[in-house]
Amino acid sequence: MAAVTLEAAHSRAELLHQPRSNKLGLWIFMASETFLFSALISARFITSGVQKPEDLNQALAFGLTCVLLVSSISAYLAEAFIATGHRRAFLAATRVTIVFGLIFIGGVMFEWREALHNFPPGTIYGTAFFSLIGLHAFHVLTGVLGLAVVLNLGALGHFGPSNSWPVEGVVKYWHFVDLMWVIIYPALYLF
Amino acid sequence: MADTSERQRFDELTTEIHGRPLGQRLRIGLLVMVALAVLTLVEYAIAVEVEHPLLPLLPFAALKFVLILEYFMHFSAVLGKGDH
Amino acid sequence: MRPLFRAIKWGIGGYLLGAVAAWVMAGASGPLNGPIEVTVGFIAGLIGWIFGIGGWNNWGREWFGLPPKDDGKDDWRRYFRFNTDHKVVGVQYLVAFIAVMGIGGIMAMLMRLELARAGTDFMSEETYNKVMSMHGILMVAVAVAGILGSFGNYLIPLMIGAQDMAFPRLNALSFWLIPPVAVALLSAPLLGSFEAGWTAYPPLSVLAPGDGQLLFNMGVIAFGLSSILGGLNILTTVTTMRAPGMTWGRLPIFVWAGFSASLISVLFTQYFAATLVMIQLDRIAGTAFFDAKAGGGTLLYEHLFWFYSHPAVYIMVLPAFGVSLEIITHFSRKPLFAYKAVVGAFLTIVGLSGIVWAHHMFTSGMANYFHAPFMALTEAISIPTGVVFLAAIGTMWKGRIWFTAPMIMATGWVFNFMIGGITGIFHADVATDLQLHDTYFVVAHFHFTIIGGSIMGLLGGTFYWFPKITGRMYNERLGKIFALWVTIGLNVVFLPMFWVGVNGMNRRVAVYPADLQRVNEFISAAAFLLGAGFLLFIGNLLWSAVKGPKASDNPWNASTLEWSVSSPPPHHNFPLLPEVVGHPYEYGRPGARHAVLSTTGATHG
Repeated sequence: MAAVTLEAAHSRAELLHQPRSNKLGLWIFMASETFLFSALISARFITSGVQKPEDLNQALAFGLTCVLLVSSISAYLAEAFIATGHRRAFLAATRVTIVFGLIFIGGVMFEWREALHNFPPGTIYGTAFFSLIGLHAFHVLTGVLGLAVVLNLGALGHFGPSNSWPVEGVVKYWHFVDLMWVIIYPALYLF
Repeated sequence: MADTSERQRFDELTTEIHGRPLGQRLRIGLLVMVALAVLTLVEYAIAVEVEHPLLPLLPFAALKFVLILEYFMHFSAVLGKGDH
Repeated sequence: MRPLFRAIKWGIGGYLLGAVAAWVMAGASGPLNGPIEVTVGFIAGLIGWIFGIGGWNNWGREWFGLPPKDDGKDDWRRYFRFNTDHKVVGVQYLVAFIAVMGIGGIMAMLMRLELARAGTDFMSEETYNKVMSMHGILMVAVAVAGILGSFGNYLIPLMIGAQDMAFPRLNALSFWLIPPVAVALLSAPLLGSFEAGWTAYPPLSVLAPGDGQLLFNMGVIAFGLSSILGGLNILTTVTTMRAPGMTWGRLPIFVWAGFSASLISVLFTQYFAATLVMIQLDRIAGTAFFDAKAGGGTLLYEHLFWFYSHPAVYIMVLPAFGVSLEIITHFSRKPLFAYKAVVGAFLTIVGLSGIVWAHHMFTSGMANYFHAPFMALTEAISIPTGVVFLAAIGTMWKGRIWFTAPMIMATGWVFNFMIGGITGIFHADVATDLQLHDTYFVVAHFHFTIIGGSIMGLLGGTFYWFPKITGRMYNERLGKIFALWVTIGLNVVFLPMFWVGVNGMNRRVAVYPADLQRVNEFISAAAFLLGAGFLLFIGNLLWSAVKGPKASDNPWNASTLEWSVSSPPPHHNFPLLPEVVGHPYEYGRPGARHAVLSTTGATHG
């Protein structure tokens, strides 16, 4: 091979490590976040065990779980579509995900208005409820912002089968938020 | 020549389930979603029916956790790549 | 300097905007510096600062499909800018944390001034609490990020033969999160300061009237974020960016140390963040985490807090283990003794660190059946730590030792950290800990471990890599005097503290029994001398960085990769990726090589 220029060598080295680094970095970040959630979840069990008030809005919580599940599959579809080059389907799936994410946040706000009345943060269940749901809703919100960014960039013509990492990363984060809900939902409502 | 092969390697590393056709992916996604929905329904039913549902619910939560981790987030792909 | 001014403007603007918005939302009554206003203001100010310093140019523009803007020119101003070069970030960290250490040191001098007399002559008990808390958190920050942020960033890419960190922008971000933290902590006195110590134990941290506790919480959470992002970067860099041939078994020991410490900081730091969020919520949102009346409790805090803060001491000392072993190997001119066992010991420490936290809580009232297992597990940590000592001594054994300033620091580390380690056993053991808990015995113990274990690594590493970083040589004679000064001074100051502790002097309070006054006078005098010695350190480095003699590329004749490039290293470190062909410490083996540097030819995948 002919001698390569310095710049080419540098960008090539970057080309080879960056995909692995991005992926690994995101996984490490999610592992770290898992510890944050585990701290608050264990605080819930240490302070109030599995006790829960009678007037929890079980129907709403179940509905919100379903909303998150649907948004999860649409996020999965968005990733699958962009990785196979179906831009318009990708954009549609991302929009659906964002809408369901917003519905989730709206549902949480509605639930909080009731909860403030029934079990305010000053009670021991309210402490666990507001802190955990708040932490989770904050992550949903950042996920929605991330999806909005890739939606905007996708609409501008970015991404494609060979360049889908940003979408993949945001979608993975979205699934992570769902993953935390898989634990938080039974911890607060069912156990 | 070298550039195209490196480009390919980059693509392979970038897209985890590279090469898997869209139809297959959609099938997997829908199957997992149905499974998650059923598991959630069962969870809810157990919580309503059983007095202390902590222990019976744990395996369901664990199963949902693993399903999402593996099929939505492709967890095992991160282990399989190995060294360069 | 424009980005810096922009960041200050946006930071202050963000703070005001956030505070006023929160004030309006809360009903536009009451003071503008109420708890909620300060909290929201700090978050908005932090975001404004980050976007101003470079977050917008480096990320924000990309989010809207615009090309990111370049860093700018490479003159001295690069140190005052959001710069993605890992070497610049390393220097920024080093200078910033030596400055923070100076402020923390002044607090220590003030405390010793008060403690020279048994009563409260110089400051009130409340003021003493505040000074002590400030000293604590500043020095903990130095110990946590001092080595990992500076040498970790500067040297790990060089040592593994990479051109930068895996995430250069994230690296710059993790440094630029530090100034707002410093501002939050140092401006806390404006709001009545914080007086619950660096541990921030409730109920004091929840009930204390000073709203400075809010700034403490927010600042330390931001610091934790910086620590997590830095650790994430190091873990990823070491995993994905090693040069061809640089297998896990050929990593320099400092890289392994940084890797192990990063594992801890990435995972466990979240628990400190979580506990501080809880205190913040208890203060501003009326939650009941630590309110015993409503069913909460402070034991919860202690468990969660120490679940981070015990592993955190290994974030502090593990990198210093690495630095000291590097120095000892290079200056003994012998291969590192028991390399594999040391790596195993590091990873064992990481594993054990997560399951020993409750040894801080033997007197807290937790269930008695926790005592025996936590005692046994804690004492088990002395096994891997002993392996590290064995490696240090085994490496020096029959070596051709070259006593330079860094080598004196490293041997001092062996001695002083050993005292810290041995006196730790008294605290791991339930029977003695019940007596010694909260006395000056504890203070002496952890100053031996943290100064002896972590800060001496930072100081020794600063001397050792000074010629690499600045391209100039420090004054060896002054360096040696300072190294001996710290090594011996540490013992003069802190050995008597074991004695006053056993004789009933309580930590964290400004007063003590009058019959201990003579010893305390001695300790204070010695502490002032030790503190004054640091002027020698600062003076030596500042003068040498400007006027010192030019250093060669490899003044120590060391074998690791950072010494194979020019001093200071060029922008992309290596013209082409080096090819690693052997172990890094093959001193005295004829024909052995660590790496081959090529300047032409192909790259490797």
